Amino acid sequence: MRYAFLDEDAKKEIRRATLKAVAIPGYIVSFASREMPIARGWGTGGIQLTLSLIKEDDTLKVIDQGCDGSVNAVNIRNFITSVTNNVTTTDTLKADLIQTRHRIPEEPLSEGQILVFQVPMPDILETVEADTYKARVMHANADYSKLWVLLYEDTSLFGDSRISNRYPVIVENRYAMDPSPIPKYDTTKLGNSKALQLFGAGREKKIYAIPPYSDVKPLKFEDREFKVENFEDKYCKRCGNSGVYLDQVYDNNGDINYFCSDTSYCDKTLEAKGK
Amino acid sequence: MGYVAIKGGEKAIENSLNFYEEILQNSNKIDTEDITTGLRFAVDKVMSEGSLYSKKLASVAIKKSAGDLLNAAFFLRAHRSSCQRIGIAKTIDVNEMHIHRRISSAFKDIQGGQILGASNDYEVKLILNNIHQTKKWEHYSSENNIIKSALEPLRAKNEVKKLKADDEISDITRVFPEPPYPRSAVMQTMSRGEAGSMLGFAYTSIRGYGDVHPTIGDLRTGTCELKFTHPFTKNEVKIGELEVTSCESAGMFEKQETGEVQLTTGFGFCFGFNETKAISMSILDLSIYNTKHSVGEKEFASDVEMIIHHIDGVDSMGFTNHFKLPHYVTFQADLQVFSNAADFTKDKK
Repeated sequence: MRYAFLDEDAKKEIRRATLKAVAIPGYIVSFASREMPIARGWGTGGIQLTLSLIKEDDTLKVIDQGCDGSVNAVNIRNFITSVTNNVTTTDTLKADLIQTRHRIPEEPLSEGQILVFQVPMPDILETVEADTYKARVMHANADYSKLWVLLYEDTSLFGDSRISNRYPVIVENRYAMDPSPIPKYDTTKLGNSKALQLFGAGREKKIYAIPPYSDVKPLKFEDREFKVENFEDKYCKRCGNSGVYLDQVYDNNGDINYFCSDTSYCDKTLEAKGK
Repeated sequence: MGYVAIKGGEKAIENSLNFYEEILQNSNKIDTEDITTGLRFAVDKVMSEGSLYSKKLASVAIKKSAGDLLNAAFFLRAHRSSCQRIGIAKTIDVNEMHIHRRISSAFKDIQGGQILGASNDYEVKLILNNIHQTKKWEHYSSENNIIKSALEPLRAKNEVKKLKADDEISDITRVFPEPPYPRSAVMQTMSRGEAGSMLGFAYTSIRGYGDVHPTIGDLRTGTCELKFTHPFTKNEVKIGELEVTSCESAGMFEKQETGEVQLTTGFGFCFGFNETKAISMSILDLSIYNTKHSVGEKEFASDVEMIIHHIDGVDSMGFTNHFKLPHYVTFQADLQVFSNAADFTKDKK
């Protein structure tokens, strides 16, 4: 089997789409999207990006829900290493390539790192316009009125947008973009990131990007606060961290405990405490 | 503690696959050849949706998925993805098919005749009925049985609407087109679509959400020769035969821009013998390209966006099943938004 599974034509096509995506931040680029031996909707867009980007000396990290040991992350990591034999890590800071689903790691990324997001629904306009042709025209005209109306309706009914994750963002003051189903807590990390952020949707056959140091803002009214998830007074039962994204876990007695969603960061905190 | 369970993904997957192996061990007792010959319609469905013409690999895939045909098609697609594309074969003309079976419900008598062939259409579905098992069948060979579509006489009289062919044929596996979609891309997507999904959408247009009542002009199953230009000799050579199904349905007549009144038709085509799929595809084709005959506000079958994005079995199965993946982070976010909204509405009361 060839290195990184994909044939060179496929890699070339994906790289071209990626370059175009980087050149137009937030713009959705179509690509052919090969069928992978992993199911569509299970990270095949991210996998194809990773396989087209990875070099022999790259260190890879794969997370799902912030966790390196989550079933889907394990499966994807095993597949990628089986076709590349690359070194993997759980340490965010040591990874060249990080493939993720639903989270951005707690520790800030640095220049040269690439964060690859797995994307289920690449076009944020799908929330308000099912017809992809009409949605393309709306993007071309930067016509996001339907998103604003949705935000207005939600705000008037519920005090805030009902969108809890994959919250719409505006990239470089131009394109409305779906940041993949990350929580609002992570939305604020998208902008001015030192790392290159790439988004791949395999089933929907789309690639888009946020280049480093881009301006990314959540779609919100000027006089409204962008409220992210609040874990006030809560801390990780394992490492004691607070001020991070926490998983709510019910134990066998039905009691609620909180644990770090980013398990690598949790491990590091514990280590630093000398446990 | 819950935390440990979340982190134990590696071991959990390993154990789960080992358990699953027990199911597969029973499937592996079945001879691949027996699946190819004994479950031919299952094999044909998988080849068609897997978009790879190989009865042997389709049979292996059915075994490897213990009879889950959606998964079997997924196996074939994943394999197909790793195959090198050598070139483009010559276009198949179903008029040149060696016919196994061919019927037309449009005309009582047609050139070449109605050939019922092997079919269970008129079988009385009683599980214990085995009346035909012991009977001898009439000799029939498809060898020289090549008959043109029953709609050809109408076509010769210029009474059938002709759609403009694409200047360049799409290959949806290499470049997925942007809307407006070329017809070749729409037809390719349908030809490898999931039979059940296509049947469902086609049924909407003939039942309550469309005005399509097609007449089957020509439905045929048989063998087509696959021809290819030899890379060195440049001669056209036959490289194999495909068993296929095609269906031509006639719909409503309409006035063309030229002033002529012509009959609209839809075309369905798939690998293997799958008449339900070919008929469904012809109805969808008819609906998509003759939208003016659809009635009502809600149309499903005539909306190309609706069809092209929702009939692929590998895509729709994959995404529907992805809900089994962990969603802890997003659900946590949902709960917080929910709780804020509940507080907001309570305050407003």
